[in-house]
Amino acid sequence: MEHRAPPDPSPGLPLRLEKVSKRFEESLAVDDVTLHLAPGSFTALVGPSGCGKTTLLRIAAGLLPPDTGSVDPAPGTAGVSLCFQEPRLLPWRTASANVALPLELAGVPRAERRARAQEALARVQLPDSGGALPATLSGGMRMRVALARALVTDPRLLLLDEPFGALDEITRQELDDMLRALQEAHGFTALLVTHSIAEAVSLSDEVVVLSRAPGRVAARRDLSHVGHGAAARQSARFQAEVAALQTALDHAAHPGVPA
Amino acid sequence: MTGPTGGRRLLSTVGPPLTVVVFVLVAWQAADTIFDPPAYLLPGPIEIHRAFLNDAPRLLAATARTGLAAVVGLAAAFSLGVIGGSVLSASRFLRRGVYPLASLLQMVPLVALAPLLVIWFGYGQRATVASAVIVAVFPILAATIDGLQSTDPGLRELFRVYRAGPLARYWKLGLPSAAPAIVTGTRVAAGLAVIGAVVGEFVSGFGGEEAPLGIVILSALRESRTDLVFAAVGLSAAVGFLLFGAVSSLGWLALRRWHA
Repeated sequence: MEHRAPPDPSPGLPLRLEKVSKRFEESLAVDDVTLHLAPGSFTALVGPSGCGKTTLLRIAAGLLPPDTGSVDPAPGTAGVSLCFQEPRLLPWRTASANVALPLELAGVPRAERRARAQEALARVQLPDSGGALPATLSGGMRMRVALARALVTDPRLLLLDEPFGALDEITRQELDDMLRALQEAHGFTALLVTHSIAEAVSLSDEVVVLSRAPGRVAARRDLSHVGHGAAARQSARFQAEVAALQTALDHAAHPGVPA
Repeated sequence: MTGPTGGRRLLSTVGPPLTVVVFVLVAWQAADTIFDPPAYLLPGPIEIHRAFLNDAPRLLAATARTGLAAVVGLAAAFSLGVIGGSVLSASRFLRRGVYPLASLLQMVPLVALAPLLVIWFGYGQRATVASAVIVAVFPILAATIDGLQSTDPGLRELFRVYRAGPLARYWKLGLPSAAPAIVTGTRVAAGLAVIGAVVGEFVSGFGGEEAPLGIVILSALRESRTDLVFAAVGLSAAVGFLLFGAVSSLGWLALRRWHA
């Protein structure tokens, strides 16, 4: 097996969205959003449904061009990876071949592909499921395979569009903790779209609240003092942040109503 | 596959139609014995079976010739249909320009076209194969286009994220996504290929020792050998059934990952 260079000390890529706006036909989806993510930080994007969270993430991923404003890194930059809301696995491929797909499309030789896919599956705690077809895996396992596929290229910026939204609460917390541990171990920058405030608080260093459509930045909260994992979820600080964010979100959803 | 559950499944699939067939044959024979219609009008299953046994070598050779024409025609239709469908799928202009015309061509009765095939391909196997191709190609072409067009948009976007080129998108996403539809289209085409071959033989087949099933049917008809007509029709149905079964089995093998 080939030895790859160890990750450099700050492998995260900064993300800078400057005054980004996007219009779909008659409706403004994202209005003048500026968002800076420090290298290696974990940021959650929350907001009422239809507020343009996913649109903003797709702009950051280079899947949608913004009407105005700029995105850095530019679309197509190496090291940017995306994890969708659904696993989006090829049903005829084994888990391992699904994970290896980005490498395959990038022309990585077969032996290296296999080794790196196995390694990525081990990172998401599925070391023995490489030979399984997606249809034989549970929803949570499929999402892990999708996460392994997003990680197999050793991304420096990972964009996540509500990846665990369809899972039950227990599986979701499990995967949240795993994701946070992976992010800390590998140092990539992460931007997570979610509608779960608890998930946002338990995962991220900073939460950005978008207003009701058109999406504008309505509030930001620094969460670096809260901590992560199961123990942190029990703390009073965690509960206080959840409550504060709930208030901010209610305010963003119904601007006229006093909080 | 061949465990007790496999055997039971096979029985539950084959059992009901087999029961119906046996019932129909018994009822037919009983009616034939009781009402005793003239043999040229409606022979009974026993008479048909006797006609088959009397002429078995010639009938089986005819069946093999017709079967070969249908198999070659189906294989050619498969290649043409999948390649043509892929090309049409890749270009909106071609799809809009050619596909409606191809569907219109499908409306022209094969029997009307068959004499033209004789003009172009001469008498014999080549016109027969061409006739089988003409009826079998359309369902495969249509299935290929439908399958390629209905590729999951989410997976397409995934390939866009990875900046996959058009060839990678076709081989690694489009074609595997379309495979179940193509198998279904080919199953339909299998039965049609036999029909096409027999109709082609009606028009282009040679008589004599080398006669295929279509010609056996025509000459038996001229001699009012209705028992022989039935035997030949039964054999052509058997060819269609076998071809359908072979395509289904190959399709199942090709798609076993989809069914997991």
